Amino acid sequence: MSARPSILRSAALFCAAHARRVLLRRNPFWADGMQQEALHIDDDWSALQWALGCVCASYAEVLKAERFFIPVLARLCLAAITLFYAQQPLSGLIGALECHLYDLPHGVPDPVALEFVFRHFFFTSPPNTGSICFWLDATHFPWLVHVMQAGIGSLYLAAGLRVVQRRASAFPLFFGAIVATLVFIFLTQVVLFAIKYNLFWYDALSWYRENSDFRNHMISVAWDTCWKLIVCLCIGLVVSLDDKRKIAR
Amino acid sequence: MARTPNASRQTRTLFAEMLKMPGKWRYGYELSRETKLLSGTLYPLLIRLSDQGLLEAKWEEPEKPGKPPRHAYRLTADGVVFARTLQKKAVRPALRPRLAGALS
Repeated sequence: MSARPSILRSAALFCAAHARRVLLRRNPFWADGMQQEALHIDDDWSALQWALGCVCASYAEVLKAERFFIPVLARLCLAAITLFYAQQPLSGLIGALECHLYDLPHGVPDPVALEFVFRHFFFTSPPNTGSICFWLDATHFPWLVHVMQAGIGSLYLAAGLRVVQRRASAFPLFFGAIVATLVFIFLTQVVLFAIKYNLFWYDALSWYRENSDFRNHMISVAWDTCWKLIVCLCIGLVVSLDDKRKIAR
Repeated sequence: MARTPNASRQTRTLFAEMLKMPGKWRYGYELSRETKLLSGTLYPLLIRLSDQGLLEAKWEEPEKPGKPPRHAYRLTADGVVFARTLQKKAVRPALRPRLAGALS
């Protein structure tokens, strides 16, 4: 029976394997060499130091191989957008937990979030619409909404992480999720609301009529969605072109 | 002023170490210990010198059983010539001129 490796040794093996994975596509000979050398170092601490250095060296080599700075920048932007979109649904969950734990009044609406869309168009009964339908109490299944939000947030994080790690296979999933969400928000918040606001609910609901700021807000949401969509498309184009270039090479 | 290629302190240290036994195959960790260069510095150097044809690398079977093969490195003929030339050029002044002037 072989002895279990120490934590330091395990960390060293993990780092060495990571260094190999990073450099493997660019230079497999050196990637394997780095990993194998770490296995020949007897002292655990020295092995860890060696493996950490290998990680730095492999990243340096990969970055050096990048002919264009733009793909790297595009991936960083993509990472930022991922975090932005992931934190939005996740923050809803955190807010709900806080409300339940501390019994805070649910008086802070966040109309841009998906939560708002779900509450207004799927979970709020018609009698409640137009009164205090922003509040968490108004939804029939608040936890279901938050579970869905957490799911969407996790999906973004997972897919975004894979894309930033240069695994192009996850890119269509990630990009599709972002575009679908933006289109969904645009359709539900702007188009649907505009139809209802102008054709159906205009005279029926005093709440919407009295809140002229709300209409302005919807216009800003429309602009917001449009520019996000354009930015995402541009970034997506750069990243996919870069991936195609790499595959061709 | 254009930089002389492969003239950094780390590269010169590596060349000096490898010139001690030019024909002998050396391991990466051994070179790291002798030159005090960390692996994060050493590997980019080795890769660059190998790409330039100054260093050759090969897989070597391990001495101890149960260990995987590992890389071994040595200077090529061009590498030895280059390292010797660099060593001759690299005569460091004892003191920088301004400092020397101030002291005198």
